[in-house]
Amino acid sequence: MTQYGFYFDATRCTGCKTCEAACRDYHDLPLDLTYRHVYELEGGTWIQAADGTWTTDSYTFYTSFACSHCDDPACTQVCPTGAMHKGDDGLVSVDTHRCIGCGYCELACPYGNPHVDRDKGHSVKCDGCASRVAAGEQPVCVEACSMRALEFGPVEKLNQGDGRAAVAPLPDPSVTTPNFYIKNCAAAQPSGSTSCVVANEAEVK
Amino acid sequence: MLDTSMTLNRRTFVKATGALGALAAAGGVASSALFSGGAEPAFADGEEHIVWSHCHVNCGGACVLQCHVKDGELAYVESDNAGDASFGGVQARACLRGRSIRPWLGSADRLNYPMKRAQGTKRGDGQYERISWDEALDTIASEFTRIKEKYGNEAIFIQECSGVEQNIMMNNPFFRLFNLLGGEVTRYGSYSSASISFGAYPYVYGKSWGNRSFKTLQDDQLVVMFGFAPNDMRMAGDGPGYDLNVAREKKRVRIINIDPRRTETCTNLGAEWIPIVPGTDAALVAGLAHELIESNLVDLEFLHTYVTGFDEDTMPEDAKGKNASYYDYVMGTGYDKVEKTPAWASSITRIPEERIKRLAREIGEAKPCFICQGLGMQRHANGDNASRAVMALALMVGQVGKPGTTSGGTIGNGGIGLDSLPTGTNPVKTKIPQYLWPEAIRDGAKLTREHDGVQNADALKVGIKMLVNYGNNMMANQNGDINFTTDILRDESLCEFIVQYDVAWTDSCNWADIVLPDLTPQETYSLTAAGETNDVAGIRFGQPLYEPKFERREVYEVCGELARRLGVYDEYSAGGMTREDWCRKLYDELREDAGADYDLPTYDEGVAMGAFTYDIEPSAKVDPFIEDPVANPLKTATGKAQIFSPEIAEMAKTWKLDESEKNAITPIPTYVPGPDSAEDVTDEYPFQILDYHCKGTTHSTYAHNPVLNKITPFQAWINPIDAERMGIADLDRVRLTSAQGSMITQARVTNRVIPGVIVHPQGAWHRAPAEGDRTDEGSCTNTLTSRQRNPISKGTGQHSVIGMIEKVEG
Amino acid sequence: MGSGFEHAALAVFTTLAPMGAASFIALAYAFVAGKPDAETAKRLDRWTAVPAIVMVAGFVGAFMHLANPLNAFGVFAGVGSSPLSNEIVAGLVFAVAALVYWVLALAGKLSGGARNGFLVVLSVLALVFAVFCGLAYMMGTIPTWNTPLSIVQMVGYALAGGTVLGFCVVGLAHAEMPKGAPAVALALALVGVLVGAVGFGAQIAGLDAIRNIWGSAAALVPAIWGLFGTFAVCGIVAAGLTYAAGKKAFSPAFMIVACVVVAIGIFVARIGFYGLYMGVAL
Ligand SMILES: Nc1nc2c(c(=O)[nH]1)N[C@H]1C(S)=C(S)[C@@H](COP(=O)(O)OP(=O)(O)OC[C@H]3O[C@@H](n4cnc5c(=O)[nH]c(N)nc54)[C@H](O)[C@@H]3O)O[C@H]1N2
Ligand SMILES: Nc1nc2c(c(=O)[nH]1)N[C@H]1C(S)=C(S)[C@@H](COP(=O)(O)OP(=O)(O)OC[C@H]3O[C@@H](n4cnc5c(=O)[nH]c(N)nc54)[C@H](O)[C@@H]3O)O[C@H]1N2
Ligand code: SF4
Ligand code: SF4
Ligand code: SF4
Ligand code: SF4
Ligand code: SF4
Ligand SMILES: [Mo]
Repeated sequence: MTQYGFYFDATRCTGCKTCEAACRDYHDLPLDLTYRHVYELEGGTWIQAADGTWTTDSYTFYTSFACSHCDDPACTQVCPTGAMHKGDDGLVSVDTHRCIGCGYCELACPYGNPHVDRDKGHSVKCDGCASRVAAGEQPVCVEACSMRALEFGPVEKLNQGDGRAAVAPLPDPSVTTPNFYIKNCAAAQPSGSTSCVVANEAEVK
Repeated sequence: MLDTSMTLNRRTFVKATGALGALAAAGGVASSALFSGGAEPAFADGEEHIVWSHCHVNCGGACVLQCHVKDGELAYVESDNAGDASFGGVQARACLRGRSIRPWLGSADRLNYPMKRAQGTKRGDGQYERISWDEALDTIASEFTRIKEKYGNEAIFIQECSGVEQNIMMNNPFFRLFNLLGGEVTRYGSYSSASISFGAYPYVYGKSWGNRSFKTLQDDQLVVMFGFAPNDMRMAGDGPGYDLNVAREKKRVRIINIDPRRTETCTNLGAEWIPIVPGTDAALVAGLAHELIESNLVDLEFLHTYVTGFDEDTMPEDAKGKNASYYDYVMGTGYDKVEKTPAWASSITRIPEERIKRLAREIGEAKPCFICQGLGMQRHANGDNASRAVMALALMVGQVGKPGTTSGGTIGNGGIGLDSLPTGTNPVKTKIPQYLWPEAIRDGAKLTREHDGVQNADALKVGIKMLVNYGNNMMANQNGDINFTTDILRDESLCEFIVQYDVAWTDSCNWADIVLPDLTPQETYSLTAAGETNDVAGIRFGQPLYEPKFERREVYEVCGELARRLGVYDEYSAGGMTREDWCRKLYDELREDAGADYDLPTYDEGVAMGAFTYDIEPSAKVDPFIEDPVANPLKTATGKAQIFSPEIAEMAKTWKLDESEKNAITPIPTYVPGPDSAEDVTDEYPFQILDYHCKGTTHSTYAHNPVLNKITPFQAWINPIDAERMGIADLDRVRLTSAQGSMITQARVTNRVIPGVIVHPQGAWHRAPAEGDRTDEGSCTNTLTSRQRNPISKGTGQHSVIGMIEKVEG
Repeated sequence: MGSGFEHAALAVFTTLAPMGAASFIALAYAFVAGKPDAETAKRLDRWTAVPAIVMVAGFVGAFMHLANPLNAFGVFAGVGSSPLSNEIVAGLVFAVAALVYWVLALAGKLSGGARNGFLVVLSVLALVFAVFCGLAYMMGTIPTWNTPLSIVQMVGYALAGGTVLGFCVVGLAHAEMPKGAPAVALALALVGVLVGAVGFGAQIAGLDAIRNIWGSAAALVPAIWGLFGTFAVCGIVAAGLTYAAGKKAFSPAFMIVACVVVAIGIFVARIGFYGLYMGVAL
């Protein structure tokens, strides 16, 4: 079995959100839904010296992620129907004919990926652009990234960077063993860090 | 176009050959259809096919859009995925805005029919009724003739056309037409770069000079940027932001970004951000100069060979003995007898003294050092001086004119020079500064050379009586101080006739007499060269995605219809040429001219390919002026690079400054806090409010795209320290107020802005009643900006604003 | 993250279905201790429709929650792995057993020991169902729910609600009960309220220790102790009403009020519970 996965180079990412925009366009997503998230995290403080000058140790960084097509997916485990399943390519997707739209995958996924679309009557999610991949193409988001910060491919051939993503705002990789590898930037804070906050709440929620 | 020191690397010619492969995948459309190059091929219903076009708005780019079209609608967009996809390879990958073009094309705000202002209503009332094209064109033709006869051609003005910038067509058809009919008053300068182009480069280098792109960066070198945000405003996948990113990683360049806000270059990128109080860069440079001098890090040999005005030795003869050099200014022996120590600079810039000293040493020791500036800094009151100051810094350390450097000004670009639709000759020679068009409407003949920078005449003969706005949202969105501007427009006795020709019903439409619906570039034939935001040499060919919808019509044809009515159709159309004919002709001319340097496909091949791109290899050459300054002098008064400008010294004597312009004309780039500077804050207006060019829009174009609004909302950045003091929480609804006006927006509490400053993106659509308190619900920052103009360039100083932020309920 | 109301349909389900199921505990008591005569037994069997309706209403809530109920049969695929499948199966096992019991009872095919044995089994199945209702929320990636307290509170709610509902059936059927019945009803109901309150309260008390990138779980539902209090008060009031009604042969009027009061209390607690949804990370 092949296992596809993503690689994200956080040192290259500029938070431009082209990946997200391209995915929204290609999959024709409604405004309140996205398969790819770009979280902006920030932390630190500002200090004013006696002479009125400012210094800051503040920092900002971005984490762009979609479904991590986990080895140990939380979504498939809770799915009552088996609609949420891992394919031969390791990509996790929804069998729309079996899905009852119970939303358990949505509740369980720690990457905020699946979402129940009530109009469609089933859950929807990043499927790794499976049909493109099957046709030998790259996912739309990967090809869109102007900074070449995203890669996609069979994990054994994929850049591994600093390993499976263990960066805020994502869970520790031990939770679902994500096939999402990352190269961390200098400002990165580890999973579970409480010293940084989400800076772009209106955008990601 | 800016200068370039680039050569083309022919080996890196990249053909965008994705078309056929992708088509095969999309259902095997006969490839011959692609090569027809003519009318839109017919496709069976439900069949998906690719039409190549490009994004072209005023971001300075023209990224490839590979449009998947189905049933006469855009289904989705791919961008440039041909050629080298690796990090460092060139692909004109569109940014989020280009990728989100579908909701823009299909927006409910699109203009579909010609409209006229309803009888009995005033401009700004927003009452319009649909009319036929014939009525619209007849009206425009007759008003043109009436106004020309009554006031002369000088009363006619065609506004800039930034919304459709990257194109052979732009608003040239209007110029071409009017020039055949006696011409129109024209403009110089721009909203973008008036101060650097007209208040700095000419006096420092004679003209724009020495600019290189980030591709010139050398291993392990230092880059120092003043208010430059290439990852916010040069975002294409083959653009400067990308180049800088590549150099940072592959050449390990170190980047320092001096800016009131943390730009995207300083987020994940590991570049250093030095926060600065807006409008104080000239003070920072003076403080740096002091430290450079004290530490013997100024390149005296360079200065004495190439530069006028650094110290007494290098002053022009007639300016000697007056302690008027930059050295005197810095060391406290100049006109104000104040020593510009790092401590002095730090009290103004709020950058710690120690950091200024260290920065000076870093800059002084780095060889090469790439010192550049964006355009934000020069859009402040006294931006002329700030811009020159940064150039002076580069000169003081001798870091210009050779690989690894730029001029201290902007960065350079390569590119293929493609001609646009010829406009003929304009019999009217008088020019006004771009920024002063509302004053030219209101004050007309009161505008003079010495007071207002009128060119080629001592004064205007007449005010602007007819205004043509094609592809701009200047009237009620993008021009400084909307309330001031619209007060002038509302008075029909001033400007008598206004045409707005756009693709969307922006607020500017509400101030027009006639509104015309255009096709977007993706809906018609288009041809463009890769622009500043694409740091490559390339051409993009655009074919219409679908048949025109509603009664939208493109500008060349529409001006042709006007030409018929005005009796000049044959000359106008050069014997009946169509828009597509012009694309072909101008391309063929390019191919002939550039054929020796480039291996260019034919027009039809190009249309089938959609786009082609050459990478550019940076020149390793030293500039001729640096090689031999005597044989190759610059076009300045002294033939050298000038920190002291004799031209400006002359102006300082003769020009009359506006009472409101608290700024001064100084031959050396001194720090002069203009009006509404950091020094002017009060209890009523305790903040500086600064706007910037954000990733979510290209000015007001795309600013109503709901997808972009969702993923990059318009928000006022406020530092947590200020937010706490003002009782403001993240995402609160807030009101920003200045002496000029008031607007509602959303707060974003963030460390990304220096305390004391509110930053907010420009470009959001103005939404305010024409009367009453005119509070803008649309977050359009020009509700707050003022009519600040710069003393030399007469360019905009609209970034200098002081004001208040308050929480509002609801 | 929401207020919990976006899961209102689920709250209806987890309020009503276990309540209906656990009412069989009270019915078991009514038959075992009350030793009704044939006529009374018949009335009791007819009024058993009430818990059945309540349960069905609960399942309708669950159905409403689904975006595509037509595929619902697929839930058996996840039995053993998906806690949701397990919950549904536990509910169905109970429902089927209860249906068999009811049909046999109405048909007069159940007598004496068989009926009592059946009712004891149903009582146990009802509690098992309540346990699975709680288990359904124990997902490793949802730390606020991933606690045995999710089970404890469900068992408590089932017992509290079921007792009140069960004695309501007794009242509606005008079944004569032994003297100690009001005290038994009171005790059962109070134990339910207590267990529910302990489960919910301990869960709330543990929220401080749980955080994700958005902040502390303690901030999720600012009024959470108020919801807890609502449940506790409603539970005690309903228990009291039941006791009082018990003195008047479980007067139906009182008991219906008690049922409504306890259901409201449980529903409020459930809304609070859903409001505490918080992922490990996002
Ligand atoms: N406060 C503040 N104001 C600023 C700036 C700032 O930084 N701060 N920046 C200034 C600068 S640098 C600039 S360049 C200007 C830009 O300001 P504008 O020149 O007004 O540019 P846009 O806002 O993009 O408006 C372009 C208009 O063209 C329309 N358009 C787009 N495509 C087409 C087309 O195909 N056909 C036609 N007919 N119309 C089209 C759009 O709908 C929009 O109304 O703004 C200036 N204003
Ligand atoms: N995404 C996007 N890209 C664009 C455009 C757009 O609208 N959107 N517009 C295009 C156009 S027409 C133009 S002209 C260019 C504009 O390009 P710029 O004028 O360079 O862009 P700005 O964002 O106005 O300013 C650049 C930076 O200067 C900073 N700055 C402002 N004042 C000061 C100061 O006093 N000192 C210092 N050191 N920094 C300061 C701002 O915070 C900002 O980060 O961008 C082009 N690209
Ligand atoms: S497109 Fe690339 S650079 Fe932009 S946000 Fe996505 S990952 Fe980051
Ligand atoms: S990221 Fe979420 S949806 Fe994707 S496989 Fe992992 S758990 Fe499932
Ligand atoms: S919503 Fe569909 S895919 Fe998700 S858990 Fe329920 S049945 Fe499975
Ligand atoms: S792989 Fe496809 S579906 Fe998934 S985030 Fe990228 S573009 Fe969207
Ligand atoms: S960078 Fe400019 S030209 Fe390119 S897609 Fe973005 S807005 Fe369009
Ligand atoms: Mo501009």
